[in-house]
Amino acid sequence: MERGYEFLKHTADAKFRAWGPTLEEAFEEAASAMLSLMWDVRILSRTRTVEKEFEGKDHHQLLLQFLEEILYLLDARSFLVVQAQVVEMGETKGRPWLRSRYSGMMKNDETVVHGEVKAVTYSEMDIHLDDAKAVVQVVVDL
Amino acid sequence: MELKRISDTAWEIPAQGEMKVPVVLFSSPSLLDTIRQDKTLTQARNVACLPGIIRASYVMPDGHQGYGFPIGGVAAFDRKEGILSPGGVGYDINCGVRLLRTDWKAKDILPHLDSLLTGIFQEVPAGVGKSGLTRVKAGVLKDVCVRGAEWAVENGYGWEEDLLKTEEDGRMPGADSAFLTQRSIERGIPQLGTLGAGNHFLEIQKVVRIYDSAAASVFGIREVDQVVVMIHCGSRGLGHQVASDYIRQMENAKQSIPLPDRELICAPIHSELGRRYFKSMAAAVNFAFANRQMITHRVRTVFEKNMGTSDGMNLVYDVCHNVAKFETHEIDGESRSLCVHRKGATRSFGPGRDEVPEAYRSIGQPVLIPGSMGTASYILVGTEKAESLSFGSTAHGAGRLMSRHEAARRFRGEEVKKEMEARGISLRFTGWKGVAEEAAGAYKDVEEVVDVSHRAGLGRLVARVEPIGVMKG
Repeated sequence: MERGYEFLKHTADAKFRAWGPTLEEAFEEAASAMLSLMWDVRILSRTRTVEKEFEGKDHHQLLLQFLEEILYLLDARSFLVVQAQVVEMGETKGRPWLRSRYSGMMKNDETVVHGEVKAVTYSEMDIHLDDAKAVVQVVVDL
Repeated sequence: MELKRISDTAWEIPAQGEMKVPVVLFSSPSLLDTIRQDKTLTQARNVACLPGIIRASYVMPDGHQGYGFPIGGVAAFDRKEGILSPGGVGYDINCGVRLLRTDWKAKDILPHLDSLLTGIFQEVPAGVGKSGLTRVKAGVLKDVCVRGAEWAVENGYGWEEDLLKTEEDGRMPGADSAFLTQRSIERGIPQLGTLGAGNHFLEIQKVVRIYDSAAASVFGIREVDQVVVMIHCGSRGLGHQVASDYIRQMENAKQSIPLPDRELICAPIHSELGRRYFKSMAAAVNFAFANRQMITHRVRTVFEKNMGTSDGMNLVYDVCHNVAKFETHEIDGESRSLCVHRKGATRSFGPGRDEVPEAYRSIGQPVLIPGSMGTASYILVGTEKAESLSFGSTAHGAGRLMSRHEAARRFRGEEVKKEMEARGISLRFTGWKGVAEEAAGAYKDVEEVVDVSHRAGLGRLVARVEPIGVMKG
């Protein structure tokens, strides 16, 4: 199964579905969907990387944090994420965790940011996983 | 879903099943048609199931689907039994509007419009991820979050009297920066004094019609063609992060409250978590007040440079659109302190209430309802009737009709700009995509929203203003 994402109809915010052969890849595709709302990753370079670990009570919380970090890096660090990767995922004592790597560049006066995402939400969030594929659905607040 | 018409402008979903109170919508037949197309009604009904809710779960005329609570949702909760919910306030805490009056007429401004807009565009950073001109230290930011617009005025941003014309005097009590996460502070620091993006804007407008000259004159609006300035923005990344942080903390807390929808996550008002959320939310409210106050100062500076003075640029009022507050309301003849959530709704208090600035206490507070980009906005006055109808609340804007995605597909930024210019409106912006997404055609008709508010008695028409210069983030 290939990986990818698509946008679904939503009046006020943006809703998308992302998929891949594994949960890791579906998460990465969700990040790509969100990034497509914010800037054109094709014209940006990858000069730096930031690594981050998250844990939560379920995969919903992990997905939310994995995506939210992109907003934090923009606002607090002026760092534009070009690619968000899931390096490793696991579970310790019943709590899932995730190790991620964000690569991108520092924002400068020339970089064009074309859309604002205010927050990642649990609204209609759905994570579907079986042997052959993983599909996630996310609504972000615009 | 059973909808019972209860007056010319109101519909009701009677309490049934888990609902503790009915849903009451202020609407019109055509606005109802659009409301039925999304989850607004289901969301309003879910809110009606929450513990401690009083009287009804209300939906204002511009209601549409939101996160948990509908946008345009108003719900009041008993202090003992009730809850606080981040979804009942919204992600953009204290997103709000302020209006500055001036003594100029449109013809005085037009020759300078270009340089005014260019100046404002330089002085008020706009757009996504755009940093402010002043960068404060974390300790200072915490102070800003406690003291709000008062901090701004003390540091040279604006006039002392501005504070008296701001909801909560620009400083919401109960704020405590100690409960803000490091992340929210870090996101707030670079964004103090910035407009942001999305539907946020700054407009130079002219008065085109006065409906109530007595009220208008009390607000400083004297004549048609008079120039005013409207600023629409909120608490930026800091507020968004506060909402996200507390949604997560409430998710992780042991929940004893049965919820019809995960998005309605909440905490009892009197619980430790409920109190911490309120204190952090109030901190974000104050950040937003300070933010709008700093922008006000920069706008006045640009007018001074171009017009020789900023005399007469008094603040008419500053209103919150996304907030929860403790207020006293009369319930069955008894005066009670309630926690009122207004999400995408404007407080609309009538004459006599202590919360209304002294200058306006004889007539009621100004209610500012912005239209969509390039369309009219309205000034209303709060009413006593609204206090009995909706805990003193009315609409907050036009409300989206189509998604940004669809708007960007349907409209071209270049054409939207051309069309606005043909109507005599100058536009400054940070990206074409945003212009297309905010095209007036993507929004409901603000005229109808305001008309329902007026006819229902939630807020009475005072004046209509139209933009001559628009700056959008």
